Amino acid sequence: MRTLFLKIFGWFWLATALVASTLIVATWTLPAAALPQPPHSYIEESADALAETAAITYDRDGRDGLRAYVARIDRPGRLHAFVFDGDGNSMLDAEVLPEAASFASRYSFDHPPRAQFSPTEIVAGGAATLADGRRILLVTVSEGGHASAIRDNLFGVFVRLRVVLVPSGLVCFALARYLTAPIVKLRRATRQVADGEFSARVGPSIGRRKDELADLARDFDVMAGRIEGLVGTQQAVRRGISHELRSPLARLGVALAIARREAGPGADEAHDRIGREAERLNGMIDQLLMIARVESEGDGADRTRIDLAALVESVAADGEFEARASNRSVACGPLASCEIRGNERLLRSAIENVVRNAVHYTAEGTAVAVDLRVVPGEGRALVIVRDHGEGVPENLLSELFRPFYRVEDARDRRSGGAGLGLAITERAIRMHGGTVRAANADGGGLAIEISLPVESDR
Amino acid sequence: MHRILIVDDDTELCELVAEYLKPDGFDVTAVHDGAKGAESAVSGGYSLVILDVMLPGLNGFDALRAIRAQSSIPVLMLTARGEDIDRIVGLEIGADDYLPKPFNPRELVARIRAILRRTEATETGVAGAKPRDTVTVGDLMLDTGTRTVYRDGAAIDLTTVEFDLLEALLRAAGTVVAREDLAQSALGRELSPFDRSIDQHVSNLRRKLGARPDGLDRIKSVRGTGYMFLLPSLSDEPG
Repeated sequence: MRTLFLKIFGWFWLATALVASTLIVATWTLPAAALPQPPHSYIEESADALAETAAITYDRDGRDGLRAYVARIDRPGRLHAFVFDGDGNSMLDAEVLPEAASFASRYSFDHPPRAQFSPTEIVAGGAATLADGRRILLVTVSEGGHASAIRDNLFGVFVRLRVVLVPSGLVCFALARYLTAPIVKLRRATRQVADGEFSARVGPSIGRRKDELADLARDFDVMAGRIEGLVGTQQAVRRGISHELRSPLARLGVALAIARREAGPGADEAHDRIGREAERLNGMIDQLLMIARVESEGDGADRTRIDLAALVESVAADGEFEARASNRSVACGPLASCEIRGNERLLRSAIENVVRNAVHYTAEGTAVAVDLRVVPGEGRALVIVRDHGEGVPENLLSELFRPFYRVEDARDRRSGGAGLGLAITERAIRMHGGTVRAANADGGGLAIEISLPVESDR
Repeated sequence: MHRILIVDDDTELCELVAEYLKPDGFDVTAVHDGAKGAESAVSGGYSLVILDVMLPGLNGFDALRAIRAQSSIPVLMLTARGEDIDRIVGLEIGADDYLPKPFNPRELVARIRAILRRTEATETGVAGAKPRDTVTVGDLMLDTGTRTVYRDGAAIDLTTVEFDLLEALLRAAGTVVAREDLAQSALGRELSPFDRSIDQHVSNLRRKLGARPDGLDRIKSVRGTGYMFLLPSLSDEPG
């Protein structure tokens, strides 16, 4: 759910962080020459000026004065100065830094070398002439060199990095939020619609936003509105059929009962016929409503854990009750204990249709066998209903589950129902992720096998 | 002569039902909308109400709620065939029984008779023909005199059918009672195939009674047979 948000946020932030740190690393690793440096001339000129002053001081106050002057220039840890005579020998007895000594040894008054920059120090020299004509050389060593500038700045670098990362983080966060929030809302609404809550809308929570996502949200609302309308109409039609078609049938039933009573036994046969036809109409309405219901509720939220064995057993018991009236029976084999997840009413109806169908076609005096097995390892439960009827020609087996399909058989036309029973079963089972198969059993009769995914114990 | 109120917006059906029920000794009055139906049911001195679910204005469930708020008059709901939810809701609100519409008129007469037989037996029981009796199992106490059930001393509101069902289960606590026997004692009729009303009543009863103090279900379903009221474990037995 949050991953798109995290991805956008993470990648953008990473990108800004990379840009910032690349800049910093580049500053660190590029050769000194590529970096802007204090101008040589400036350092050299200040060295010259220091040398000039040193010469004047020496002329006036001698060696002691020079020593005091050098001590005044010296900033421990940052700047040191050394004075050499024309031969490159130190004029003072203080210890000379090797960098200064080597600079002095390479020094030529005719071609003074440029100041030296290294990561650790900057060495520069300035020349002056004493009153007696001798020349002196003053070498300054600034500790740290250009590296110290970076090191001094390192703290600043981290401050800068933080300064870059915090606002860029905030901006990236806001950006990611801005992009994903409507998607999250859309998804929530989509789920609601999928769960049958067709009144869900995204528009109000999107506000006045105007971009592709907002357009998508608005289009979603239009779509949800259309679905809501269609489903509403369908439900209204269903309720309408249920009520309007059945009202005349209800009246017909009562009128028939009155007629039966008034007319006496002479008209029984005709009355029975009327009753049967009315019952057939009722059965058809039931099945039409059921198939509409399978389509609209099958994958809905109305799913619970179902004890399949109990369900099969109770369907078989009801079937047995019904079968007894026509000298047939329903026998339950061993029922493996298992649970599945689904809409109990649809599943009951699905299995019931198969059992009733079997009771209808099994030969008089025979029993319909109902078994429930669990296929270990495959996580599937098999409900097998087998009758002892005439079976169905092989090439027509797959047709059995087509709506309004009937195997041409005289008994069929007497049977009532609209040929929807097995079609309902097939749809309901498919909605539950299962399959239905029909096969002619060894030794005659039809076997219908329903396979359903078992709910694991966890 | 029993006076029966039928509440259904189908006027022709009401006329036919009145005509059909007359020779069986039922005097039928018809009302065609829910609000008036509820009013008449409470005030009219009828023995039984036949109430359709689909009614204009106040629907059948609301009418039943209005009736149950004031009266325990027996109510037989006419539900739309295939709409199990109607049946479930109807029984939950306190209908005594239901009949899917379109119905077989003979079945209607049988249901009416069963309900009336049961309520009359209850009334004579209250009048003293049947000795007052209490059944206690665990924290539940059932008083047949006042037809009240107490859990830890607090009364639980049960419908007539639920009370009879619980009485049958409690009297046989610890043993399995067949669904057929429960249908006889609570509904006063035989179960027809595909009839889940006993299971529905039991499920309502379970919900109203709640779980036992130890968290277990009070009523256990025994597959293919019926239901059993579990005896409390010894440690829970009061006294």
